[in-house]
Amino acid sequence: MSVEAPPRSLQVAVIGNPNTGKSTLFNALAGMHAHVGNYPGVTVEKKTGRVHWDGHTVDLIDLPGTYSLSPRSLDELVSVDVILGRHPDIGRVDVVLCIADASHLERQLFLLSQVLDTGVPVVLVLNMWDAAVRSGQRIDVARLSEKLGVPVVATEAHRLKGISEVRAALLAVSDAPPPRPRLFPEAFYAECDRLQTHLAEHGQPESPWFLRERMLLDHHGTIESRYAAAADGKLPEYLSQARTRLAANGFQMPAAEAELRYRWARELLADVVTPPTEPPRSWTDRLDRLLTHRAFGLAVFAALMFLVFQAIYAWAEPLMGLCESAQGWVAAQIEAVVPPGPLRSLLVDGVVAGVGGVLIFLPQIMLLFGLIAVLEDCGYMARGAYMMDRVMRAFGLSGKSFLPLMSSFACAIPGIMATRVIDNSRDRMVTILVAPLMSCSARLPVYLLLIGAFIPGTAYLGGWVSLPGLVLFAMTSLGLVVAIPVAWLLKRLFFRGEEGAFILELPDYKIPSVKLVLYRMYDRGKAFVLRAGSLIFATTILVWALAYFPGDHARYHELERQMETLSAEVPAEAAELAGLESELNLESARLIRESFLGRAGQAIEPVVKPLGWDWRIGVGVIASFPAREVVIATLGTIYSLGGDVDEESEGLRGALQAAEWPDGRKVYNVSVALGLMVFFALCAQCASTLMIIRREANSWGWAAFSFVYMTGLAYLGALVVYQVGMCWMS
Amino acid sequence: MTLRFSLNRIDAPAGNLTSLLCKDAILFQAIAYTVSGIVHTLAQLRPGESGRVVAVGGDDAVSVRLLELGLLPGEALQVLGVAPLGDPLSISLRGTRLAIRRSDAARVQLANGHSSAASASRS
Repeated sequence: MSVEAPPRSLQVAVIGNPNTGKSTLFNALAGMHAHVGNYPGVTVEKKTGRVHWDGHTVDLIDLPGTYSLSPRSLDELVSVDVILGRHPDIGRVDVVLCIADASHLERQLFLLSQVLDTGVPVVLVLNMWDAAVRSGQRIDVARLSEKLGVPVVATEAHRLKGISEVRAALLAVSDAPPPRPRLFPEAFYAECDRLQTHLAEHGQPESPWFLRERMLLDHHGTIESRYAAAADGKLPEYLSQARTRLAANGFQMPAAEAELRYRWARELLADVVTPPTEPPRSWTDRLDRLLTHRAFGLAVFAALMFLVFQAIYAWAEPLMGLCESAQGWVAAQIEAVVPPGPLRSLLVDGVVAGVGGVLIFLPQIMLLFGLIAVLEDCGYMARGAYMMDRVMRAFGLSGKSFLPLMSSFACAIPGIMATRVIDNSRDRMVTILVAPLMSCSARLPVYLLLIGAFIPGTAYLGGWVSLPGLVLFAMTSLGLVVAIPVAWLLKRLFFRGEEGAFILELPDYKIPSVKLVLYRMYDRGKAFVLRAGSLIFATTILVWALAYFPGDHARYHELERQMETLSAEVPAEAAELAGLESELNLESARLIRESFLGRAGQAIEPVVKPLGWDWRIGVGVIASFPAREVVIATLGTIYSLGGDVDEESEGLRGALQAAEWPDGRKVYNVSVALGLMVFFALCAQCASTLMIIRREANSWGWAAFSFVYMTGLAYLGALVVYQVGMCWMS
Repeated sequence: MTLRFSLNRIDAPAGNLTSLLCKDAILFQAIAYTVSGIVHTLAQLRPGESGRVVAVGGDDAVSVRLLELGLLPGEALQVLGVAPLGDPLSISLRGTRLAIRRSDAARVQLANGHSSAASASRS
């Protein structure tokens, strides 16, 4: 190794098939310094890490796991652009670190042969070396490196074995491109040259060799469309003629590429690998027979999914409670120092509530991603997708969408973040867009309040089934049922195109790595706080301002000040305190009515009248767009009960039952209550969800779309339920 | 009977001349095997049965993905199992285990393999 080499600055792109331990190796190389972002215009996550090795600066760029470099979508095109140094966000890439699973080398070399075609220097890593050795394979690393003309390093990333060798190989890599395997017939290379002439004649003088190769190989490929749009429209016709010429020479797309690359890999490995002595993975097969068994397999799956659900629904609860008490404690500290007034209100109801509103999701997100990491790393996740695929096809999706959608029943935020497990970008987008329809835990209080107040407790089947229970079940399942046609429509309207094959690798089972699991929890938690947190925080401040202004708060803050001088402990003061409190409640009801939010609620009364709602419900609904669970507190405030009510509150139930229109008719009846529940079931009343959609779909457009389609659906649903209900009752 | 069936299977959406040529080549291959009476598809195999790939029909994203994963003519594969709800299948190919939907598996033309359990491991 050249010790006296001058400090270099290297850009390293990391690529590999799925299930090769790529993230583990990336983490081992990049440490905790990874930076997560998005490539503009696509949903691909951009993960980079800058490290300093022996005075050299190395930027590592993690590319999504893939089986091939033939891009069929704009998302897949990102990897090609990055490797070729054509991505404006990354710039020139000096080395590609190609990671392969040592025990399945032949198939892994398919990707390597494509990477070699890019002409960028390559270092090949044979990861999971121990598994290959265990299966009885012997791989001659030196011989492989010699035959390929690129450095080859054997590693066991999960045990941090071979990491320093990878570093050394990266630093020592020469700028000269590795020999490009000439695995296609000469006629093909001649066509590549002719294509360059054609492109140059049509205003595209600059076209890397690899892109021309892909244009010829990929029928209706992404690169073809890109160049066709940039040059004149003659390219598709030219390419189709070129392919015809090649076909006449016996080079048939698409089979020829795969056949020639696999033949190359087989010949390359012929004197490099001695095949496994005994059939490997036998215990994986035996475990599979059990874990994907018709009855037992499904039972285990149901139990595991229940565990996941329980974790984010119930186990996260104490941690979320902790967040809330911490928030309350900080608010109390501020209240002790800052006198009542706009500043205190901003700090307590805006800033502290905003930070709390971000942190409250952390326990769920970290628990869910911890469990996902365990399931993925041990190999079970793929089995879950395998077993659920048939079910998810009802949505036009694949088995991989099951876990994100199921998680969304607890909360759509971790659910939408979990769509990262879906590699098909169209399926992922559809899953993101229907996930908020799943009945999350924040909807429950609304259902409980309205069912408690308006649904009679009739019991059927000797008390086994009750009407309130049925209504609750119907409301909880409504979103799921609606999601089926919505997903179907989304697929047909916005995410059309060639249906990608659902082909899933079922990796060998293994013991999950604790380190990887902890890292994934940390990584996802950090990504959420840094990337979605700021948006959620800003939204909370905005909503606070809309609810605070423009009302005159002088009297309100005066009452607050007076109350703080009194103590409920002293009997003489208790009565006065109660009097002040009811005045305070009346005052806050006036203030919410006069706030921008309240005015908006009153302004929309004509719009919500067909749903049977008065302006109070309008205000409650408008106020709960940022977060649906606040509707309870808002209704409490509007009905002058103060904001400290909950769904069990008899006072609030009574106030709802007693609410009247100006002409004396009751506002609420069963139809209104059912319509309101349907509205909450379908509506996009969660700013945090919209912000996470914006982050994960990398587009404000899709966040806006979610809001519009869900709100439209909710309005329609509530309208139908109310109108049908009224006809039926009269 | 068998001949008609395999013809329908290969009926890919008509594209340009290349795909037609490509289709023809597969067709001839398929007919050759049909005449000798041994063509069937991966979707028809039962767990434990194995076969050798003759061709993958079509030239769309699905067949490209199948080819990339190594479902190439001459390759041996074995059906390991069927998902609890009847679909997809899990197969063993080149020492790896893959899940594949029946609708995609129907594109994979097979020649008869041997039904013994060990035959699918790579040669």
